[in-house]
Amino acid sequence: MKKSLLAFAVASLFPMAAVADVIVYGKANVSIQHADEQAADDSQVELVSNASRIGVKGGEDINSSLKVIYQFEYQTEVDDGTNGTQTFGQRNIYLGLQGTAGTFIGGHFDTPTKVAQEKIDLFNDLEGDITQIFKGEIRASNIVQYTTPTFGGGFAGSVAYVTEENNGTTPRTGDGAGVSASFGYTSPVFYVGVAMDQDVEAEDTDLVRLVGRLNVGAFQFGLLAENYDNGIVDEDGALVSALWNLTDKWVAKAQYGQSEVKMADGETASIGVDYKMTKAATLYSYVTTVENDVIAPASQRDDTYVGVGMDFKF
Amino acid sequence: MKKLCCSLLVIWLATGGISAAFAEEECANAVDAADSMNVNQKDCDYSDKGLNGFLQKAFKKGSEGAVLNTSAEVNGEQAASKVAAEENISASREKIVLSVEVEQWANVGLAKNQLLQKVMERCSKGFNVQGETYRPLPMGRIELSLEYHCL
Repeated sequence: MKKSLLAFAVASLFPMAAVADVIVYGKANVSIQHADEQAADDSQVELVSNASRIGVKGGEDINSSLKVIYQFEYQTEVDDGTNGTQTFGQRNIYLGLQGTAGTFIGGHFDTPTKVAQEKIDLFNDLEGDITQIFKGEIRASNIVQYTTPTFGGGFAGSVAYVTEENNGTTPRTGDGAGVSASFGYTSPVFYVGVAMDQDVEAEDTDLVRLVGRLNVGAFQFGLLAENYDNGIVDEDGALVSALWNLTDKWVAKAQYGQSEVKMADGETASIGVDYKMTKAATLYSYVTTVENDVIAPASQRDDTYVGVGMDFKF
Repeated sequence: MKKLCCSLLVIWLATGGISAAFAEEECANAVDAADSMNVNQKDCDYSDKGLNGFLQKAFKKGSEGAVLNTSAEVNGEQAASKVAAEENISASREKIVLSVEVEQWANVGLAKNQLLQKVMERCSKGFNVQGETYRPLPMGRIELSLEYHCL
């Protein structure tokens, strides 16, 4: 779509007086990768759109201490233009109130447990994403959340109530609502957080997650540990990540995780290099392996992905 | 010697960490800020960044704003280039500068005519062009600025 038509179409949705409070944003992330998957007969080269999206967010002051906030974000598939049968898929969408006592939002968005991973997943949205071997990466529908204001220099907590409705994108079995909560301390140098899900994925399914990040000089180290219990399986997993800012343009990354949470002996390892062309545009490359020790042949994985891509934020 | 090197390395790493601890958090890209779902993050100004910056300029409110001709077809003209315009009003309010960006030299004449028409709309009794500036921009674009005052 011509930039002029896009600008005209988007701006026509908002009165001129409100334009200053609206932030329009998005990103296009596409990679071309060689995928060698055990489930497939042959390896193949594929073009992949990695969570490309466009969104609108903003707010309006009601008074000096209260503000309405909102966000509408949609995923688009840059590679083939469709997300199944849809052109756009819903990502985080909410409407809420923000004040000195905290923030309430309701809608369809990431649970506090999912958000708690913060920046430790260095291959987020790629084949090396932690969702390959971990659970808890839920974007829940019909969810209402309260977040405390930041206090004590960096502490904050969130608690979310996932209602009993069962018409969202997260299939929930059984009756009853779910609760997701997190609490942590965040600073540019250090982050530690703990999160839990109770009956969010399904009834009698609990998950506890512990996350930490440390930035020292040019390095960033990350750690994630998780326990999952659905009454049938009670399993653990852990992941470590490391990032090295070689220069202000070049970044080297590595990540390794082992987990029984999602599959037997699940294991993922990734290495990658990023080149920041500008603050908005990054070239990247990666090698990722995903393995498990599942008995059923159809679910066995011994996959390797080698890819290069570009991420552009606008 | 080994112990000295290790000590120096630890001190260097720690120093970098300490300085970073007191460093102010930079504004992330708008898409990353949204993805973080952190409702407590500081408000950042994206009015001049990315797509949002483009739209802000395109639909700037006020009588002096909204001079964006992104396509000849939008304005019913058959110009070959996209133009973007912004103006700066000096503190004295006597001198006004109107600027436009064009994609190539071939379109400078048309863009200049558009600017002059805008100036005439604002100066009902006529105007005096005091300066004309051409400045190179990235990707071969050119910025044309007209400095004028109304009679």
